[in-house]
Amino acid sequence: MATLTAKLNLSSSNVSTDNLNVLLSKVLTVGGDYRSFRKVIASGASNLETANIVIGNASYGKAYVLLHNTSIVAAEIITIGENADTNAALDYTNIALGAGEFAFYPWDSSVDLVADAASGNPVLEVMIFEAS
Amino acid sequence: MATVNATLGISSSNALLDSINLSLTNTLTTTDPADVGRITILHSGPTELAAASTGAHYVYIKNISSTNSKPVDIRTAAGTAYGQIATGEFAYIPAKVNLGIEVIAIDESVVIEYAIFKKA
Repeated sequence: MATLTAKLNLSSSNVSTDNLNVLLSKVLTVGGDYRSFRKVIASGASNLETANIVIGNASYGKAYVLLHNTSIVAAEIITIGENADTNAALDYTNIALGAGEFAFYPWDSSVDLVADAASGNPVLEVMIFEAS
Repeated sequence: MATVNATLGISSSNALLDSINLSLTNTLTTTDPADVGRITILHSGPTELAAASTGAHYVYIKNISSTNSKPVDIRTAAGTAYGQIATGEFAYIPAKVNLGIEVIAIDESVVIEYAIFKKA
């Protein structure tokens, strides 16, 4: 088995009258499949399930997922969700990544991860570490 | 308006043959309300952290349970689950506008820490 150390630091001097400095750290046990890739998320895709599927749930159990919208264009927002109808709109959505934004979370792998873009063809960077 | 600096680090010396060492930083522009807390959440029903009427927001949630090892489901306010955090694990998510966020413990009550910053 292998380990992955994930750390998140959130800090601010003006979000409240007191300074904020939160540091989270967790050593995660991984050992399943690993994949890192970049994917163009086309805003004009007519079939999201085939064109913009990011991770298929059939390939993974529980996994730690990093999603990063590498665009620098404000309008190129990437929405993450599920598409079960193979059409041009996500059936369920949950995460919206603005330009430069990222998410890291333990994905439950119950449904495919599918993406859509509000504009353009932003590139989504993905890292997935399957838990042991 | 306020700014929150978010830095994520991921590292491993043995997940692959080569080491992994990744750091991402993003400066978040936020506005009121901000909410930081530590609460006990139930397994008998969901606990709403942000209502569906809430705008887009950045959220972190950490499962800090010390009395059991039960996981916590992360869901939209409408009940669609998409993440699950085991004891000690955390999630950092830019949540989409007007979906809200709720959590529910699996099998037994669990203590979480969380912070929500509304996107400006």
